[in-house]
Amino acid sequence: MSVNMHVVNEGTQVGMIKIYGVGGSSVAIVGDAEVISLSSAFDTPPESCLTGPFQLLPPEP
Amino acid sequence: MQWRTSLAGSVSVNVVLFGSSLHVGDIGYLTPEAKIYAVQRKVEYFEGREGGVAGDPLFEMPLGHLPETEEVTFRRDNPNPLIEVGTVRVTSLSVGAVLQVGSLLQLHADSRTKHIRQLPAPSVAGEAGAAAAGGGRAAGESGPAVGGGCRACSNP
Repeated sequence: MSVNMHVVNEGTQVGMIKIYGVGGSSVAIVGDAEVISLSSAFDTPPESCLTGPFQLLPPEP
Repeated sequence: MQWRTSLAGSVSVNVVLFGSSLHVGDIGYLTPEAKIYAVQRKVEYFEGREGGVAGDPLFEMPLGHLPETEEVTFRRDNPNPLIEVGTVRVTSLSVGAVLQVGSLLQLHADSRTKHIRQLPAPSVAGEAGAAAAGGGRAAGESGPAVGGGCRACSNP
């Protein structure tokens, strides 16, 4: 199976773009793009919430 | 492929952080990567060599990029080959983010964030405070930790 796509660009005009933040492998682009592939992993597991006596994190090698 | 021309009257960005980038012009391949180990700690102390992540699967595992196997016949006509923007205002770019004025062939971006919170042990005073306040406060706020566990993740 294949996809056929035909796009006609009649010109694009935008007055103003206001963005508060672009974060975590995101993209804001004024232009054309062929391939965009974005991936983001965010880990906050229950065991990452440490209560109790203060302890140091594992040392760097 | 016929590329269009991008035109931005003015671009204003306050901050560009943690492997982010701002580009004016065309790009062939761009692969930003960011690995973040975020520690939120009540006690104001940092040993300096803390935070080893060797063996942590979050920073080792392959991320979920889809394979580009689909057959796409793409035809693009540009009677007016101009993309025009008056003003672009961005407050912040962070953790492998990209802002570009121009065209792009391929972008593959990865980011991984591990978030650790270290809060004081629950106390009797904390339990009384939580009962009075209803326990609806956000993590990082001043005051004792909510009794019975972590108020941010409800871990007992």
